[in-house]
Order: sequence, then structure tokens, then C-alpha cells
Amino acid sequence: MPALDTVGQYLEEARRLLQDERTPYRYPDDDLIDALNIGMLEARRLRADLFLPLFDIPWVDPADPTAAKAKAVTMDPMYRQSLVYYVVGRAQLRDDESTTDSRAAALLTKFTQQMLVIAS
Amino acid sequence: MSCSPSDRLVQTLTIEAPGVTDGMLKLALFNTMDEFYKRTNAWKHEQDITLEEDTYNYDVDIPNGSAVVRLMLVTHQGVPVPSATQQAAVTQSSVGTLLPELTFPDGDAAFLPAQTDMDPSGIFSYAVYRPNYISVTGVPDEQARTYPMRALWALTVAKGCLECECGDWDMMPEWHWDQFFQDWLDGTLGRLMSMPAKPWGNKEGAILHSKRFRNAMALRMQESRRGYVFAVPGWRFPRGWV
Repeated sequence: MPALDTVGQYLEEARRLLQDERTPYRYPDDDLIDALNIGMLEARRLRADLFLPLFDIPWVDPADPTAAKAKAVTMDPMYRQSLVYYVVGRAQLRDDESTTDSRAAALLTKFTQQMLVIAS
Repeated sequence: MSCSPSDRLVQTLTIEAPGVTDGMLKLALFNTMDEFYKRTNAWKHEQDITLEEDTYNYDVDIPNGSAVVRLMLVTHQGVPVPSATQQAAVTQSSVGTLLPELTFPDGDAAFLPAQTDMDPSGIFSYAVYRPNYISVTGVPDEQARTYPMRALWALTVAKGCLECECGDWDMMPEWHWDQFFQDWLDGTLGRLMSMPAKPWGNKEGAILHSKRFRNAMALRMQESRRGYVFAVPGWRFPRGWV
């Protein structure tokens, strides 16, 4: 289990859940990085305290995935797994024969639930 | 692993508020301590001020990481010095007061200004207009200047410790962490649990802990005035009253 310290580790864990670990990928790196960026925006909306003390929202440039993968993601360890659920759920929102809407919705709901309630 | 006086409190808070982040916990604890100190005057600091000729303003000298709440008392040669607003039977300069009973209806003075201009210590009175210096009125005479003026300040935690990542929370006396442990625990839990849409939110817990915190502050305010001594009320109803 990766420690989810870097963008690369988030992508690796997301691909494991997406069953997309072999190239060529069904979900390109830049799509998943975009999902991670949007997940940060969502986290900021729901839980501003995760971005103390300056409330800056981290953003990773998806144009250069190789450099992006080495970049650190600042997130409290308790909420890193939630961010993975968001990335996977958002990726599966795409109209794709390998995914289902209910699974995508469940993952996105799980992200929100984990951000807001303890029993989730 | 290093030990810190705040460990016990932070550990207890982390368990009782599941899911709370370090940054949030630190902010809520800081706000609790700030409110606590401002209300109770529990953190006191003495400063000796050397009086100088023709000097009327003196800088406040307090520990790093602290901020002034209010000036509690000034003494000189062991005698309390009245503040500008406490002065009676005197006609005051711009920093003082003029009481109606000290004047005749036509506005004439009903006192002897020459006798009320200075107290025996040579210090007229003092005032604090901004919490970073203390002003004295009147010119301290040579004899008065041989003794320091002693100021007793009530302090609180300074916000600078939150803004920088110094990580030091050792500005207040270490015994405060044990003495006020339960009070700060209740105050911080009350704040955390009353937050909307947070995993650690708990309406009933917020009411309980906030109430306990308010009660604790009332007690600490009394202790701040009377010291940590059992059964020394400052005032009580006479026997047989009510």
C-alpha cells in the first residue's frame, strides 16, 4: 500500500482500483491528474481546515505527467484515501463500457461522506 | 520521540475528536487558550520599570509569544499607585478625570490643586492607551527614581505563534498545562464539536463541553484574584441572611 505522498502514488493506487495497470492505459495520466486537481477543489469546499494555515489549493500541471508524478501532495494522512476514491469515481463517470454509473456515484459519495462524517 | 507539556492535552483531544486534523486542533486550542486568558487573567507577569527623568512613556516588556490583555496593578516602593481613572480629589490632566463632587456648582474647584498634583512617591498616576507602553503623569522626583515601578500584566498567547511554524508552545509557564488541562480540554472540544459538517461535530457534546468551559473560566477568574487557596471567598452573605 503506497503512503500516498506523491501524485505518482495517487495514480498508482487509483489504477489499482480501476484495474488499469497495463499500458496502454484506458485512463491517461493527465485525466487522472485533472481528477486529482478537481478533488482538491472539492476538498477545499467541504473541509477548509485541511488547507490550514494558508488555504492554498495545490494544483498539479497535467501537461507534463512525468514531472507531475514526482510532485508531493499535501494532504492529511487520514483523508488521502478519500481523495483516491474521488479520482477513481470521477474517472468512472466517463461513459465507458467497463464502468457503471452506480459505482462512480458510490465512490464520489464515499469521498464526500468520509470528508464530513466519522462513520463512513 | 520528544516530550512536550502539551502532549497530554493534544493526545486526549485527538482521541475525543476523531478525524480532527493537526492544523484544526492547533487553531481551536489556540483560540480556547486566548479566550481563557483574556477572561480569567490567569497568566500574570511582573515587570520592573526603572523610572527616568523627563520620561513619561515606558515600553512593555513581556515574554516572547505573549500579548498584553490588561494592566492589573502598578506599585511603587510596595505601595499601589492609582491609575488615572481611579484618581479622586484631584484635578486631572488630559489623562485623568474630574469628578462632579469635586467642583462647586459654578465650576470652581473644591480641592487644593497644589496638594493633589503629586502623591508622595512622586508619581502622579499611570495609564495605558495602547497595550505596548505605559504612561505616567507627573515628573518622578529624584528619590522616586531610585526605586523601580512594578507593573503586573495579564497576558494571553500571541497570534504570531500560529502564523509562523515555530512549533513552540512553551511561552506560558509550564504548570499551566497541568493546572488548566481540563478547562482547555473542554473549551477546545466545545469549539470543535460545534463546527458544522465536520466528522467530529457533536451537538450534545458541544453544549456539554462549552458549559463546562464557561464554568471553569468563572472559577479560574476567582482563583486569579484570590490565589490557589481553599475557602477564601472575598465576600459572603452575613450569617442568617436570606
